[in-house]
Amino acid sequence: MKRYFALCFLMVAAPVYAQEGDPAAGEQLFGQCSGCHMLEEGQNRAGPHLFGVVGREIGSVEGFRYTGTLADSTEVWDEASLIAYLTAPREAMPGTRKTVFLRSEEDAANLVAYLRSLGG
Amino acid sequence: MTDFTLNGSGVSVEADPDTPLLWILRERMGLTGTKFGCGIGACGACTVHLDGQAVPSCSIPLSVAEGAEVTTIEGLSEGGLHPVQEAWIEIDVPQCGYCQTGQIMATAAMLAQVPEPTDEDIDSYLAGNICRCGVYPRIRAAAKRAAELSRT
Amino acid sequence: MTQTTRRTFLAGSAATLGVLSVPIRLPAQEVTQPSAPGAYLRIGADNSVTCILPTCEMGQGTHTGQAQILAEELGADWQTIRIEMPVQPGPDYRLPFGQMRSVGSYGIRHWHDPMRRAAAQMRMMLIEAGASRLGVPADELSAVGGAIVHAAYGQAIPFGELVEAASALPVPADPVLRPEEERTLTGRTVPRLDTRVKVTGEAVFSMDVTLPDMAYGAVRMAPVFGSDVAAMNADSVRGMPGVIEVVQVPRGAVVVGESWWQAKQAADALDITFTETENDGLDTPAMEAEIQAALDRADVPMTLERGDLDGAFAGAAQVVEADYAVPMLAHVCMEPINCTAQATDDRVELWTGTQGHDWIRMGLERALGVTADQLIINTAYLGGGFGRKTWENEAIQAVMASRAVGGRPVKVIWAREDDVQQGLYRQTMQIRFRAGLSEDGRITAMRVRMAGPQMGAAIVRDNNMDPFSLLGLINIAYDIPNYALDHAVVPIPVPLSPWRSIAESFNGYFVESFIDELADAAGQDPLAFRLANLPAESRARPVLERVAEMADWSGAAPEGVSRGISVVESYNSYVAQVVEVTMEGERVRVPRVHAAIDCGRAINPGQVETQVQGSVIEALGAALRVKISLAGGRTEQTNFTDYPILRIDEAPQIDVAIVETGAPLGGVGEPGVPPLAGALCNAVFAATGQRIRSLPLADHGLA
Repeated sequence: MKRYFALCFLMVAAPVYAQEGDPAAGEQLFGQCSGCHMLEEGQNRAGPHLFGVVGREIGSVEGFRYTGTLADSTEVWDEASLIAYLTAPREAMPGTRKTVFLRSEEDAANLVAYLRSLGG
Repeated sequence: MTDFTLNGSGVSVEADPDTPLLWILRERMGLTGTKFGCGIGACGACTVHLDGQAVPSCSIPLSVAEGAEVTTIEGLSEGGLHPVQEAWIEIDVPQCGYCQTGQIMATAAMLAQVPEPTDEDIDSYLAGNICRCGVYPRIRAAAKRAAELSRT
Repeated sequence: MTQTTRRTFLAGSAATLGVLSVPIRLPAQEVTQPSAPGAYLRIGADNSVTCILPTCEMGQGTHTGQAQILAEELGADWQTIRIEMPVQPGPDYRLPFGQMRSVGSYGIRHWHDPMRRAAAQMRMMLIEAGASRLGVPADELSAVGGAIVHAAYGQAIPFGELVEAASALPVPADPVLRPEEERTLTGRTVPRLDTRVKVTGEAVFSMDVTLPDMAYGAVRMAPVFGSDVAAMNADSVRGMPGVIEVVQVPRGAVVVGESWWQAKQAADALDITFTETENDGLDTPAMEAEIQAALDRADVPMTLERGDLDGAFAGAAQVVEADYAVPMLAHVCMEPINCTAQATDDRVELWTGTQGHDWIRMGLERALGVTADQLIINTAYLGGGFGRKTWENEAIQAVMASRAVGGRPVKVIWAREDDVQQGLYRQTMQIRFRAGLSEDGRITAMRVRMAGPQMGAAIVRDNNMDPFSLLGLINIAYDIPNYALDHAVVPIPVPLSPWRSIAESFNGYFVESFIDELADAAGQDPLAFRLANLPAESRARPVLERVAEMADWSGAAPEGVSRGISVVESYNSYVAQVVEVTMEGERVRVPRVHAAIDCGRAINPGQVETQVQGSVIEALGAALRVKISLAGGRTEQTNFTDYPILRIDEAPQIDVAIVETGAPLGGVGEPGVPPLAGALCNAVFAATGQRIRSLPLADHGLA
């Protein structure tokens, strides 16, 4: 089962890897996320803070209680994995508490570009 | 002491700042329209608006509410019913009804950002709100009806 | 919902028409007539009409449906109808098995006749009183819109004005029911009475009950079934913020606090150990292996046998065999388990959402010696029930907690993790089918071996005839001349509770999948095979034919879509479903489900529709990816993260047709569940050629 999810993850991720996200569009989208996620380091809400999330080890924010695959993973978030997660969180990371998602990979790529642009 | 705006009025709460907002609302403020469902932000029954965003209040510590505007189902509409509530009544959505206040809060937040939601929008915004009775077909219909009512 | 401790029909007349005026318990099956019309209706001098209903409202809509029946027959003004529930179980509120419980899809089908009768009696008494007042013959009067009306004179006397005079009249022994043409409130979609309060947040669920000076209780229970408290150090948490008291209860402790969050923090921190038990090593794979082995067990008493099985198998053109299995399931009602109690030594008042009023009464008597006359149960709305909220554990905890803090009211709330992990699950079951087919595709013989726990053990008398395990097999819908059924009972040390549609929840899947296998073996279309093997007069036919029409079964399926069909009778209703699936890689998607139901006359068609839709969603979520499993005696699942029931993004379009065949009333809350898993897996077979013989689909990498 785990292997299957990993496979599915790659299939979803592959075609969007090359996509260039638009940070400005991503900033607009972030409104949908800001209830649960802060951009400042150390500020956790219903979700962990997103400062420096691109390139961060999955499930690694201090003081945040992760569930399911997120807690077990030793991988690092990159564009592809974030896009896969943002568009289908429960499939990419079974057991996650994140349930709301973005409609399209394009939106996800824009959001990731925005998060990346914040540095960290 | 934590100060915030609750349904339009300023409030001060003396409590452990780690206490989830949900329990402050229900037990201290007597606002029981916001429900306890899972305690980990996975079911949406406790959805309230924090500065206009739909959030699971069971996973928001009181400290996060400091200085924020919090809106619960009781304060969703100043006088009368919110268009989302009107649509919910028109479509006769609830069965057990326990999740419905959360569904309504999530829908209202969605419509503030997406005034004309498609099925895909509804899926993406309302996937956080479980309905164990399975009235999803009516929720979908009511969310669209609410969008219509909001426009008129 | 209002709280009532005393009620009268017609002011000042409790002695003649009070609800609880019959103190003896009638033989259960004979409680088809209320002891007095006031059992279900009370009219106030202020013209208020209050329906007193024996069934809790947990979403199934019976408060509205029962009120429709009562208001229509009485001639009440629908706009002013009020609802309440009795605070003590009594004969007027008990089901045929002698208990006040909200189970078995009985809400409408059982209460319809006694309620109509009571309302007709009351109407006739009001008319009689009106006739005296106006000095006209009773047959010139009618009851309409909350008044007794003389159409020719243009006069209308509100019910309230006649209350006192009517109370003094004898209760008609043979009330005349309204003719069909006057039945204008039932048989049509009426909005639910509870919608508005559930949309504004004003509805008071059990969880929302708030009493002066109320404290809160969080629980810490033994993680292994059969285990109890070994040692507890209450002092380990006494100093924690808000902690009032630590109370040992059966299988655990309740920490009482000034807020639930504080109580919960302390319950988690409590220094408590639990006894070792022989279940400590219990694992689901071992349990399933034991059940599977019982499929081969010899010397099992035959539950049902007809015809000549050996002869029929010997003469069969082909024999088909298959084993099926289902896992345990949790109910995960949206409202976690809770109960509020205010209890002293000789008086107990509860505020709770329960499906099991008499069960709580009996449980409190058994555990704590609380007698029926000491007990008041105020029923609030239930945030879902599904068969889970019929038990007494949380009531015992709340009563013990309240007594421990000097009678202060205590609301005990289980965390979601407690709800998921503390059992009362749908049973895990396995089955073995062996069937003989004739040359032309008729089922000539079927041998059925069930294996697994016997949920209804307490009521089983002979031959393991347990409806909680075997309904759907005892009364298999198909015309099978040579048939035998037995049940190799394998007790499991896990507390079980009926799960919406009980035995049909798995037997519907078992039978309808195997029938599909037989159709395939016979080289026949699944619908044609079913129709050929159903009795000529079966009520399964009209719903099958209707659902086939809805899904255009005889036409080609849309591109990429595969379809499966099934039909199941339960609670005297028939439901047929066609499930449409598409494959997304190896993943099964379900864009659309068609359903046709024959539940007799649909009292509220809109509610029938939404119940069937909800049943489909529930059954689909269960079939796709949830199960309860044990490891080391502990439940592995914890919350919605690892017990992922269906969310809106996977909810199919669900079209529901109501087929009225003139049949007697059937249930509505449950019958939509049983056909789904079979139709789903039959569609998966059509799509992939893979026969899914165990649930959930996620275990097969399909969801």
